[in-house]
Amino acid sequence: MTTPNAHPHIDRELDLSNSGRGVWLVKVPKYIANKWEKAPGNIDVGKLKISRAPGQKTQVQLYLSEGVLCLKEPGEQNIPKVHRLDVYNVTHQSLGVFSHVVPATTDAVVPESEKLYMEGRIVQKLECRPYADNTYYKLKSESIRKASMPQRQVQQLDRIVQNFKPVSDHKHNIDFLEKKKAEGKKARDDKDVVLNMLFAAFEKHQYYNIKDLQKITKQPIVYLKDILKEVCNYNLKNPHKNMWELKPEYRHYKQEVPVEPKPDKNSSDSD
Amino acid sequence: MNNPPGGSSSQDAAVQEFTIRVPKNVKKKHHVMRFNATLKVDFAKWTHVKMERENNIKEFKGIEEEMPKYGAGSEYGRDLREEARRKKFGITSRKYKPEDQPWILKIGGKKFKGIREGGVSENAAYYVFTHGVGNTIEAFPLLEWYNFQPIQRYKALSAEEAEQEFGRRNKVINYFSLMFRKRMRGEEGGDDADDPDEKKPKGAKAKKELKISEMDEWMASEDDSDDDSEEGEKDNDSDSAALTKKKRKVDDEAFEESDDGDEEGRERDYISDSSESESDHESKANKELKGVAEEDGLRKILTSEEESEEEQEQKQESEQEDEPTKEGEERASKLTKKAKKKGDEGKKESSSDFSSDSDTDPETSAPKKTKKTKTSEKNPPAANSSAPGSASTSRAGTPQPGAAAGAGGAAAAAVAAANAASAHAPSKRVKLDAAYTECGVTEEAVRRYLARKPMTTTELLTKFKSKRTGVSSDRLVETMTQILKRINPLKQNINGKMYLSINHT
Repeated sequence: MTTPNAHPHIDRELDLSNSGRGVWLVKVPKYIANKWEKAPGNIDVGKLKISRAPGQKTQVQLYLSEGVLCLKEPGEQNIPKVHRLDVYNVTHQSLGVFSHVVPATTDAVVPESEKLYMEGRIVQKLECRPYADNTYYKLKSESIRKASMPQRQVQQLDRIVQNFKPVSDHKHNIDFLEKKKAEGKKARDDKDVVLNMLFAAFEKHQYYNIKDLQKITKQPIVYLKDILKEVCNYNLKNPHKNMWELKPEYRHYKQEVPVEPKPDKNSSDSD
Repeated sequence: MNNPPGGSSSQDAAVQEFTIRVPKNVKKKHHVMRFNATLKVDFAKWTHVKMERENNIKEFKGIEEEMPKYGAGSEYGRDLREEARRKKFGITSRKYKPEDQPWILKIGGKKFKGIREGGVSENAAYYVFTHGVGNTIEAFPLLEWYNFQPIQRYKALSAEEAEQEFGRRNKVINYFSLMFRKRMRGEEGGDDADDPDEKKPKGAKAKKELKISEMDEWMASEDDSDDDSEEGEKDNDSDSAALTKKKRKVDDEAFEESDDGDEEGRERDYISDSSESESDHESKANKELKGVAEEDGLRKILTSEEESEEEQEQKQESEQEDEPTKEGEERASKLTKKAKKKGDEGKKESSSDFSSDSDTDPETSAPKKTKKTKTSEKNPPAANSSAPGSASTSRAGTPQPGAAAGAGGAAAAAVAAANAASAHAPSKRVKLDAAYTECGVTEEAVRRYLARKPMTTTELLTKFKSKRTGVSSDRLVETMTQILKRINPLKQNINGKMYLSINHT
């Protein structure tokens, strides 16, 4: 609800310079995707080999690079190196790829506008399938074992765990008292000064709670109330209940509020 | 299509190698946009495309009343207080995330809404491979899938509306009448004229549904039919001999053409108000429509001398059976009255028959004798056409003579004159006469009815029909039309119905 939120709703041109380009949609297993995510951008993550033998189907194979295979945390299983890619055509739908640049949420003074690019049309779908070899079976069995492990385990305790201790004085209370002491007692300012502050406040909003006004003007509440009674009306009824507003003669809002709840004249608060 | 591998596809049986890279620190986030193939989206043809996130902030905020954040009417620290109040009740509000809203894609005038699909990348990851520099492939992870669908610009029917429309699925609409009505409305702005207008098309519609298309055609192309098929009748008036034959033929034809037999029962019901017997709502509606159509038909007969005999016949028949006894009684009283009237009327009629005929009928400008014969001829036809009126007379007794006799000397005289006239006429005409008198409808009778009070053609027909003369309604209608043609009564529209009358002069 702050300013950056306004941006996504702005019409943005879609950059179509790549819209004619054909791209491949490749479905890969999660374990490969994890590796690729971790891999730095400057290394080869794998090789795509397309072998076309006459009279045979074209074979597409994916060889993961050693660098990627080595990227593993301790205890992680090896992943198979070679996968075959099954090629499908896109049917019954037209698929496209678009991208958008998310402006860095950093402190750019002029926030980058989000840009949209058309990246191309998906012409073929490839599905990456592992060869069912030993490595793969090991990987799978390990993942199954992990999945079957219960997430919560029973643990025996030898002594009482005390997770709550009573506190005589909470920290924020102490802080607050200290701060109050430092401020000292609220002194009664000159009435004109207070009035000026009040008018300034009422310029921004029409209705104020007395507590807010007290915070704004930093006046003792009794004194503030005296002044308020002079220039303000107190609302007793529900829209804007318990709020102060300026008497009509002091008001000069640009657009008058059409239906002003007539404030009671005898709004003398028991003070 | 520069597919990644497509670049070096020249070698056969060779192995091409591409190195795959996953570029990092790219700010771009890749997503898939999916369209249904039926939408025929061609990315390459896109020229001016805009995309934005849908703005759902209003829906998100709900019906919360809009409060000014600033200035007049605003409360200091209201949002915070509201939030605190909600928290007190244990409601934690989620923040509105504009980046989670669906995409709106605008291509020219078309709009698509792209809704994110979940679960696609749950068990597998998707990458997009694009051709990089040289023999390299760049792989970018695809984060989200968006399914783009066209945004409907029209409002769908609600359940009730759909039901209503569904009920109308079998209705056949006469688009011509529809357009006609629309135009009329446009011109007249909803005058009284609307009513007849509406009725007419309905009648036409009903007829179409009933597949009595001939009648429609007749109605529509009065002139044509006049010229073509009923030429005979007109000519009859002018030429005497062969025309009578023709006429009969025509009559017969008309009779055969109409499948009235089917409709007659209904018609009777309709007219005799015994429509309750027919429970079927639709048939009722049809009847009503039919009735209207008939009226139209008769009106047209009068106005344009066009004959939709079938209808009238139907009416006649039904009416004949309706009022036989009453009519008889009435007749008696009427006749006594009529006798007087006929005294003058009959004279009038007889005189006017000849004279007015000669006046009114341009065709009858032939020599008087022939005219007389004509009139006598016409009497029957006129009786037919005015059958409602004259039928009653003829019903009372048997054809003219009886009625005339009952009516009194004057009438008798008139009839006699007519007969005499007819006697003069060639034998064929006589034949015709016979045919018409058969129906028990005489011009005289019609005149009598019309002179007494204004009547609609339907009423006239009813009068005659009620006399149980055993004449087919076809014939009745036909004769009636002829008689009416000859009489050329005053026509006036009252309440959208045409009333015929004769001035006593």
